[in-house]
Amino acid sequence: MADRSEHGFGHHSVSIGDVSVESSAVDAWFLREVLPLEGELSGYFRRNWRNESDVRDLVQEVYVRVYAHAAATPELPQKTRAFVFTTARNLLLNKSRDAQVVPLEMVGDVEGLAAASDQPGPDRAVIGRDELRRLQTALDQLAPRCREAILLRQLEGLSRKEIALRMGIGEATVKDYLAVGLFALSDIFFGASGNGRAQ
Amino acid sequence: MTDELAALVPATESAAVQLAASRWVVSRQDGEHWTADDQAEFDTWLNASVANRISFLRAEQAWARTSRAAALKRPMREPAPQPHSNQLPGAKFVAAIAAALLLGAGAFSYFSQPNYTPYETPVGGRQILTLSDGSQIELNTNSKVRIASAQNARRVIVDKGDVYFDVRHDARRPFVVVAHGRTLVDLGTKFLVRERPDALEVSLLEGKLKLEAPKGGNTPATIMAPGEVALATERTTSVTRTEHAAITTELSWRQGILIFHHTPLSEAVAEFNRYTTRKIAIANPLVARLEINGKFRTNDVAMFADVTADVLGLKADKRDDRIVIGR
Repeated sequence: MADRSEHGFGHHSVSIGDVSVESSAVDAWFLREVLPLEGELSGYFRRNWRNESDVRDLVQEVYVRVYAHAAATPELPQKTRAFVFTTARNLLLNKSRDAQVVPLEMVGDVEGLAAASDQPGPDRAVIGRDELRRLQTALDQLAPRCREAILLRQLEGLSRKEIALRMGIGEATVKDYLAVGLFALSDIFFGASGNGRAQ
Repeated sequence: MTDELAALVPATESAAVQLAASRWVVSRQDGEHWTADDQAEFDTWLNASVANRISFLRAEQAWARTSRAAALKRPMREPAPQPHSNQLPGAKFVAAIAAALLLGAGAFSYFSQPNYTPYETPVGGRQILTLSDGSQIELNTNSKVRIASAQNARRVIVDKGDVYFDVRHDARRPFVVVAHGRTLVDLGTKFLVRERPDALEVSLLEGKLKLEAPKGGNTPATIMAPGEVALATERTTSVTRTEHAAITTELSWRQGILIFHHTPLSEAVAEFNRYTTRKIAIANPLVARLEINGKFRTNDVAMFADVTADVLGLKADKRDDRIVIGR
């Protein structure tokens, strides 16, 4: 796909003791302001791009571009939402040119979105009691074995070894279940998908 | 990965990166398995491309959100402890055994003074000591023990904190624990000793444990059974019986977790503060009485403060050196 500029990453120190990644300002900005737009962004691409199975790649590409841009400039973007959707539109334009098609709604839609204020959208993360309900809903959508592994890890606090014993499978398989489960949960939380969401 | 699992992930470039990122998030959770080589490999992967990095951030955020929601989930059910006498009709029988064993054990033989080696954990620390006989001693945060170094002595002094014992029984060499001026003699057990400010708390998980009679006074020695919790001062002993699950809950620190179940905020905060130098303060005494449920990682004081504030409709003011919870 498009260029993946690598500039400006060397200085982000990522030290991971046994717990947390020390977030740089760009990481924090990405998590706080960009990621919550994923649902809308996916919807935008689904409406404006004929091939559903490309949507995940397109969203990812927008992330890469906005992150790289933010990391390369001294100031974080002021109007994240407008910035993200303008980037999305430019990406669509490039892709359309390559594919020699012009998606119909695209222009009007993007102008509207880009002009919209930078208010938090409805997909902003809500923590608290709602979140438990959302987690339960999300877990319901997982494949049963993935769900079981995640529950044992997160609710029972079991180690990988203990989960393996409990589920009667190998430790490597536990890792697979957890990873695929988390992959699916990420989609459900951030509202990507439409294209082969892991369920 | 099995075909069945692989089918759950779309065959696109970005999905592959996101799956790899999820795998890293999951791997990093397994503290014991995570090696320096893993760390190096992870660093290389993380910095190899922006796509890797943002996919990792995204997956980790999803994981954190799951943890946070999971923390709100009610812990296992556990009835309130009930007085020992209501549960055990054979209290007299127990006392009789206790008296019999007291005669047999020969308490004075433990008073020869061996040399001791001290072991101590800092606030937030945890350490497992394995003795030459295979017994294990696990120290929770801010705890200190002294272990007799003589070949034949199996004797440990608990100076402060919580200490979990998993003892290999040896009838010829009793394992003795001294804490809060009281003496415990192991009869093949797993048990937890906690130094509280005004008393010693002993919880027996498995096997049998003898709590020696206090020096002076009329309180007899006590033989504890699994599921019992003894609260001992230098002169008194009271034993309550509780569900096995409650002791497991109390021992959750061994997994780096604290479990609260209808716990007043003041107590939960005091408990949490044992694990962190960035202390939590409660701004308002009315707030202190609110109750909290949940499971929390002992190494994440900020998450505890956030979830607590969120659930109780309060605010957590996070400063560098402390966190203030209030309205």
